[in-house]
Formats: sequence, C-alpha cells, structure tokens
Amino acid sequence: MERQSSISASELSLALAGLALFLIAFDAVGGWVLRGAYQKSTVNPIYRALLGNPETVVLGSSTAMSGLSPSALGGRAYNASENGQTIFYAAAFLRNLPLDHSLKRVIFGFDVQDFIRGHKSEFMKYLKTLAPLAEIDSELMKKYELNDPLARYKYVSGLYPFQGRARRVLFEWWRPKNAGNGFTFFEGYEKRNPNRRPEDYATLLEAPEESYEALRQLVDLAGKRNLQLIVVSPPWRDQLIPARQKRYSRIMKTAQKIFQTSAVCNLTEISSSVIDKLIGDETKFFDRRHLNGTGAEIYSRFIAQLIANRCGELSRLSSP
Amino acid sequence: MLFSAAILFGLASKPVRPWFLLAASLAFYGTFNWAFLILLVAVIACTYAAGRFIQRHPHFGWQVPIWTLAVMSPLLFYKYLIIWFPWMWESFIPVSTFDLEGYGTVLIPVGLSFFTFQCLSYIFDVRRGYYPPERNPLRFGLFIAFFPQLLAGPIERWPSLSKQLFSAERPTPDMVLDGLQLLAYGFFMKLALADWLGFYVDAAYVNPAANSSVAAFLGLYGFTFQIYGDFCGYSLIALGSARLFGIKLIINFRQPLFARDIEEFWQRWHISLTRWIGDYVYRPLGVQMIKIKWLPKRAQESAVLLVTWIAMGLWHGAKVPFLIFGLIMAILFILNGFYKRGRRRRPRVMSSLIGWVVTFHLIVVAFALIRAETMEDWFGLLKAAFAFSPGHVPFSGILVNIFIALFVVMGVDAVRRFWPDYRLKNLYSRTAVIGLLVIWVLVLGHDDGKTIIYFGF
Repeated sequence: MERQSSISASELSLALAGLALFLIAFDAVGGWVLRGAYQKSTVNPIYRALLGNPETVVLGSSTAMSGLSPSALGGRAYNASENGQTIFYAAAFLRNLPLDHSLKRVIFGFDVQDFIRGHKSEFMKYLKTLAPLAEIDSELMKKYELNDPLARYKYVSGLYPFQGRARRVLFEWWRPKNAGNGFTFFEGYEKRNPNRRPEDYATLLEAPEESYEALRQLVDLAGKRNLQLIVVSPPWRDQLIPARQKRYSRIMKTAQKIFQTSAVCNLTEISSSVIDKLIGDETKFFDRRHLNGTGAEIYSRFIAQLIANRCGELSRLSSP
Repeated sequence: MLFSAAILFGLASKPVRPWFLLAASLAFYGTFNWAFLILLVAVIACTYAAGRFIQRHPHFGWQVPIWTLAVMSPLLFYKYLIIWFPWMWESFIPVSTFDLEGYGTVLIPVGLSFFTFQCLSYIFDVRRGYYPPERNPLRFGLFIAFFPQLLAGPIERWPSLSKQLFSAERPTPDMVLDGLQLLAYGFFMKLALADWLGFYVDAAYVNPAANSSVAAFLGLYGFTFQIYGDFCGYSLIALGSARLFGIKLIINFRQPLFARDIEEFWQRWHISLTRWIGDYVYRPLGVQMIKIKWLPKRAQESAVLLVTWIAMGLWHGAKVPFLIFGLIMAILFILNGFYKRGRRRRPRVMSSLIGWVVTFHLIVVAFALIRAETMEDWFGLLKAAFAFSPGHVPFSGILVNIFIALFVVMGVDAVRRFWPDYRLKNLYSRTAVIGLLVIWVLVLGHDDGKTIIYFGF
C-alpha cells in the first residue's frame, strides 16, 4: 500500500532547493565578512601575538607554553605557544607573519611529540588550536584535511571554519583584547595515576619524514623572515624512562643535523647542573611533562642567560 | 554520506533496498573499528542461532540462561570484567596506539550494550512465543545492525522494526521533511546546547570540592541539561536519519524534564530502555516475587523495584556511583508509590507544580552521580554548591549561547507537553525552521564535536 503524504515531491524539492541556495549564499557572505574581521581580531593568534609589538615570540606545544616565562626571558617577549601546538602550526605561524612585524627572534620549544606520528598525531585533533591558523593557511589545512573527513567541507565553506567563534571574531575585531604576554603557568604538582600503564613509545612507528620536513621549513622560514631562530627543549621528567630516552635520542640525532646546516642557535642539548637539578626535583614540575610556575621561572632565566651568552653574537639571518 | 545513502536507497529497486541498508549499516559500524565489526556479526549470529534453537527445542531446559550468557558475554567482558580484573585486557585487548597521557586506553565497541539488549529482547520474546524466529540470517542481521539505532538506541523490538525494514517502502516527502527537521533539531540540541554546557560541567568536575557555589551549581544543573541535550539530540538524529529511509523509530524522549513525579520521568526519559527493563526485568521479577507468599505485597513491590533499579544503575557501568544512583531511584520509586496510594484525588495544578519542581531537583542531584567519577566527587560537588561560598563563573558569550539554546529547547518541550497536538504544518515555515537551525549550528554551535555521552554506556 502506498503511503500518503500531505506534500508532493516537487513541492518539497522546490522548498529544499530554495533552502540550499539561501544557505550557500549566506555561507559565502558570512564567511567573507568573518574572514575579513578575523585578520584583525585577537582570535587570530598572529594578530594577538603581535599586538604589543614584541621582539621575541615563543612557539611550541604545552611544554613551551608552561615552561617559558616571557618576563624572565627579558625584553618584549610574547609566549604564543599553546596546548597541542605542533611543529606544522609553528611553521604556519611564520609563513603567515605580516611583512611589517616587530619580531627579531623566535624561540621554538622543540617537542619530541611532534615526531611521534607527524600530522596524524593526536595533537592535530585539537581543532581549537589548529583551526585559527588553518583558516588562513592553506598548507596547514591540506595537512589537516588528511586527518578529518569534515575538513574538505570546512575548506570550501565560508562559515564552518568559524563555527562557535563567529561572535568572538566579530567582538574581538571590534574591541581587541589586551594580549598580555601570553604566558600560562601551572601551579603545584599533579601526581601521576599509578593504575595506568606506561606505553612504550619505542614500539611505535618511526618518526615520519614530514615532521623533519616541517622542521626544515621552520628553519628556512625564519631565515626568509629575517628572524633569529632559537631552539630550546623544555625539560621533561619522562626522559628518565629508558624506552622514551632511546626514541628521543634517535629523533634528536636527525634534528641536530637540521639545526647544524642552518644558522640556528641550538640550545636543545645543553647539559647543565641547572637542568639536571630541575629534572630531579618534582616540586618544580606540574606533571611529568610540564614545568610549573616556579620551574618555568628558573628554566626561563637559565635560557635567557644562555641566549645572551651563546646566541647574542648571531646577527639577523639572511636568506639561506 | 547519510544523504547520499538515502538517495541511493530511494533509487534502488524494492527488493534491493533491505540489502543495501544492511551493507551500509555494516560499513558504517566498520568505520569505527573493523575488528569490532566481527564482534557485532558474532553477536548477531549467536542471537540468530538462539532463535532457531529455541524454536526447534522448545523444551530444552536452561537454554534461555545459556543463550543470554553467550550473547551478553562481550558486554560483561568489556563493561565489567576489564574493570574488575584489569590484567585481562593488558595482554590481548586492542589498545589505542597513542594517547595524550602516554598511556594505553581500552577501546570498547561502540553501542555494545544497546545492540546486546536488542538481541536479548528477541531471544526472550521468541522463548515466550510472541513471534516465530526469523529464518533468514541476513534479514535478522539488518534488524540488529540498522545503523541509525545501532550506536545508542533507541532499543527497538522485532515486530515494529522488522515489518518496516522488510517492506522497504520509499520515504514519502512528508517523512523526508520530518527527517530533516529532526536531524536539524537533534544537532541543535547536541552542538548548540549540550556541548557548550560540557565546557562548564567538565570544569566543575575537575576538582568538585574546590568549586565556588556558582560554579558547582552550574556543574550540577548543567549536567542534567547537558545529558538531556546530548542524548535526546542523538536520539532525534537517529530518528531523523531513519525517516530518510522511510523508517519510524520509537520516540525515546517525551519532555522528561517536565515530569511531575519520578515514575512519569522514567516514562519519558530513555523510553526504550525503561520499557526494556520493565518487560524483561521488572515484570518477570514481580511474577516470581508473588510466589513468595509470606512476604507482604508492599515489601514484594519494594524488593522488585530495588533489584530492578540496581540493575539499571549497574547498566551504566561497574562503579559505586552508578550503584548508588540505582539505589536512589529505587527509593524514590518506593516513596512515590506510597505517596500515590495515599492520594485519592487527581492532582491539582499546584500539586503538579510542586511535584515537577521536586522531581526536577531530585533528578539533578541523582544525575550528578552518573557524571561523578567517585562518591567523593559527588559529595564534594554537593558540598561546594550548598556551602554558598563566594566566587563567580567568568561571564562570557558562551553562557549567552547556552541560555538562548536552553530557552529554545525548554520552550519547544513546553509546547509539546502542554499543546501536544500543535504542529508546524506549512511546508515553507518548516523549511525556514530547518534553515534557521542549520545556521545556528554553523555559526554558534560547538566546534569540537564531543562524543555522545551515552556511547560510553
């Protein structure tokens, strides 16, 4: 028996076609307006970082976010690193810097996590962290596209990249927030959960070539943008686990070659009693991977001193 | 993917449509994890075999417990045994390759308890002789694996769903429009309400005892609205998806937050599970209990309620807060029974209003147990809320989003509750509503796509 319907198929098709056309037009116009506002709103991480005309910007993941205090680094510094910020993101940051930026120096917090699975890393799923730059950086978006079935739609839609942020983009374009120095520090020490078993990173895949490629890109971009690139490696207590130590050493070996061939101030493999003391003292850490506020102050002062002693003589880089 | 599948379904010839749905459903489940697709097929095969065996050997003793145990074994293993005996999974269960903490996490087959319950209802009904077992294993497979209801229900019964699935009628334009409307509203409830609320609720449960009163209350009440928006939103998405294939699934939520007593609440919340528990736990237990002659009738009723609700609590997981949740619900049901027996007249407006306020707040407090990791967290949050300590929640546009979305959701529920016959009938106004909801979700919806909370159960 045929089912009854109060509307005909042609009526429904007409209404849905009208709706689709309206949505496409709305999406295009809305996307155009938001993209324009985004460039000069503090939702845009580059705009936010450059708002106070800093000379130094810190890029990197949560280890750099919680480990490098701009006030202890000295000068006008801004910490633009974020939870889950990958090496691909740091490259995108430099790629999209405006021509009239005030920066002289980039401190990059090298994080071995970037080399675990390349762009397939869990970190790339952090849409909030990634999306602000993916909106304007097609190269980053292409990488991301491989990770998310929705991303292709996101790439062609005007509104979707701003989902949940449209109001903020417009508001913070209208009234840019005081960006401060970007530093977020952790307090105290979070004990590890003894019931969970540690995973052996040594059994995971080899570090993908694309991560090293992104590192090379970062170095090249810094040169092209006339910026001094300083690479640091905020300490982890995790380095004490032998399997991780082995993997870390393997990745560092290749990374060191990239740093050697370019004019980079490499402060990743510094052996010092300050670092040893930090790693040995759990009260200076928030958890196994992140320094807390006190630890960050000590580490940042140490890095500032190293920069003055070892990187000070480096002139601004010219294009390689 | 859903829309292209619906178009292909409409274009396919009638005899092909059920098999197209079966292939699409299995492929859909396989996208989560191909290894677990094998598990799904194994559960389906076991249930199919159970039905056939019961028909051929109706007098074979102990067959129902044996088949029940066989069908439930993956559920028991994943939901309870790996928690009670963690060494069982450490050596041979798939573990996610990498997570942020650097620790392995167990992958649990999504929708496991929902499709297990659907299989069990089939076995029990066949045993009771309500209908003969299906002969065609592929047709039976489609009944269990039909993708809109596979992940988190509604838990369907064989007679209503199989008839629709195998008649394989094309959806009417009305059904397509209904489907699109349900999908749009479901996504609205999930992305514009539940996921934004999750932002405050998650923050409140990080260290429940350390919250200010405002933050604790927001976490407490926010979770009830979050889980409602999340699960009801998901159910509407499931209903809407099924309508695009010409299938009407059971409505799982009927304005539960307007219930006037606890019994009415559970007649309106997760209806398919409540009916399942009623049909296969509560009533059979009641029948057995009547046989215990020395026990007074009220004690019998109370004992049945207690066992039923403890089972319901433990269905959520093998944790003490879930057990306490079940106990609280049982006590509330028992008290509600006493109250109703003492009441002679029909409830008046004022008593209905008081009943609604009391029920809502009891639900809020009890539901916090589902969210709390431990009893300490639950007590901590309640203590923080009622300590009336100073402090505030940072006001942001997110709160405005939440309040507007909540106003819309509760407004729609109020209209459906008090004017149940009211429907938008005009095609163009219905299309405009769909458009508005899509724009809302696109512009103001949460962008992080949190997992449906009930997937975890």
